[in-house]
This record gives sequence, structure tokens and C-alpha cells, in this order.
Amino acid sequence: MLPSAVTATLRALQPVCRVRSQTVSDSELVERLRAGDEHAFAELVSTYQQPLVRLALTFVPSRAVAEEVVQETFIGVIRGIGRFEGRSSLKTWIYRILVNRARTTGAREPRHVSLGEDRDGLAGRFSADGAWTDPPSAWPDDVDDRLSAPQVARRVIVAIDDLPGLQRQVVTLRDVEGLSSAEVCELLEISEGNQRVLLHRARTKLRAMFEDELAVERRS
Amino acid sequence: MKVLKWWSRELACREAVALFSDYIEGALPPRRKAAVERHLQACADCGRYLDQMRATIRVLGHLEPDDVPAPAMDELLEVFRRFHAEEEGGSG
Ligand SMILES: [Zn+2]
Repeated sequence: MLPSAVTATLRALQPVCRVRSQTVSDSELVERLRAGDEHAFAELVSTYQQPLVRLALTFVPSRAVAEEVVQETFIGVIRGIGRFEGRSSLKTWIYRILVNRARTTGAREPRHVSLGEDRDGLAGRFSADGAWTDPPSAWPDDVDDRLSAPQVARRVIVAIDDLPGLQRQVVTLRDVEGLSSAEVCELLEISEGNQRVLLHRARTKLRAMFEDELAVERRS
Repeated sequence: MKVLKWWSRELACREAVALFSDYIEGALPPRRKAAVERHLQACADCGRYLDQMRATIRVLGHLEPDDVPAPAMDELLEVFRRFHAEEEGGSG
């Protein structure tokens, strides 16, 4: 039994050991998991729990369902780690288990890449010949801090959640979780070209949302 | 020839803006990339927009998840333990 103090410590460490800055090598972690090392497993759960819930939420309609999918994913890891061959990173392998589970659990909306018109928050800001009529105004120097404030972060999460399905998934995996475009294309089974279109659209809308946030701040 | 010309001609702001995500990705073909860079040299508004898109990506990368309830760690550890006990015991 893992003492709850250890679990608590692992949880407290979570912000620093985010997935992308993981230091323990995949092969070392995999060895320990195969050997039945509970601490290694607890560490894995702590590291991946939040990114997996976030990713699951881009596929399924509710938090409860997302947590269920994540739980099933970890059970899939326990059962499947013996067969992990290291052809992809451990992270991608785990994400793939989650995506497969999430897809069979009931999708939020039909899955298709729409390449037609899409609102990008830039309507009416260009003249007929494509020059800015309402150019972006400068953002303050401390923009990163302002936009990372907890109350803004909550609205960002909601804004990501409001994006169409694949845009939401692509931007979450690429810009929030830091996966490569090759990993994202493989996970979501989309082409590089479509991935770029979806990413462009999501980033464009989120930039516009940040612009609105900053404008509101300036007025108040 | 016409295609080549379209590919390398000067961009309007509206077109430049539509290429910035791919530009950041390093995914533009050389002529398109050069056209974007020429536009950026001449257009401060688009430069600002590009900076803002980069800032957006940076902020997304530092987004802390909202509170996730304590993981069902105990239950998972129990499954983990049982799985390995069965493997060692050699029976199911
Ligand atoms: Zn311009």
C-alpha cells in the first residue's frame, strides 16, 4: 500500500512534472511498471491524469464520462504495458489507448474536417482589397501573466471547449499538451494538411478571444 | 507561370494573416515563406498580429488544468497490484 503522504506529495509535485518536461526516461519507467513497481505506477497516474482528462473531454460530453475513460485507459496501460514495444513514445502510446476508448464511448459530435467557411473573429477588419481597416492594437508587455491569471485561464478552457471537435482536439494536443504534428496526425488519423488548417483556425479564434479579454481589461 | 506568379506575388494583410500559423509551424514552401517575410518587413500591423499569435500559443502551453478531483488512485493501485499478483502466481 502506498502511504497517502506519498500520493499527496506526488500530487503536489504535479505542476512541475508536467508531461512534456518529464525527466524519467520511457524505458526506465516501462521497466519499473512491468516489474510491478507501485510507486512508478502512482507516478505515471499523477503525471498523466490531468492531461488525459483534458484530452478525454475533447471527445466525450461530460466530466464524469471523461474520468471513466481515463480510468479505463490506466487499466489498459496496466494490462498492455507488457506488449509496449517502444515504437512510439510512452506518452503517444497512452494517448492512443485513451483516444480509442473515448471513440468507442460515445462521441460529442460527428467527426469530420470541414474546410468550408469558418468564423475566425476577423470579420469586418479588412477592406475589400485585404488591408487592415481595424488593425490589432498592441498588447501590454505583461500579456503572458495577464492571460495566465486563473480567472482568464478558466475562460480559455471554456473557449477551447466551444471549438468544433477536431479543432478542439488538435489545439489541445499541439499547443496545450505540446505534442508534435506527426504525433497528432497519427493519433487523430488526419492528414498533415488538415491538421494545419484546424490548428490555424483554432489559434486564430483563441487569439481573437485573448484580444477581447485584454480589451475588456483595458476598459475596466 | 501564372501559378508561380501567384505563389510569389505580394500578399495582402488578409492573406498574410491566413498564413501565420503555417509560418510558425515552419510549414510554408520557400516562396510563400519569403512572401510572408517581405510582407512582415513592410507591415507593422501584421507583425503585431504575428506576435499576438505567438503569445497565444505560449499562453496555451502554460495553461494549468482546472482542478481535477483526486484521482481514483487507490482503485487503480488495487488493479495494478492484483494484476501483478496474478502474473507472479501464474494463474488468473
Ligand atoms: Zn499586413
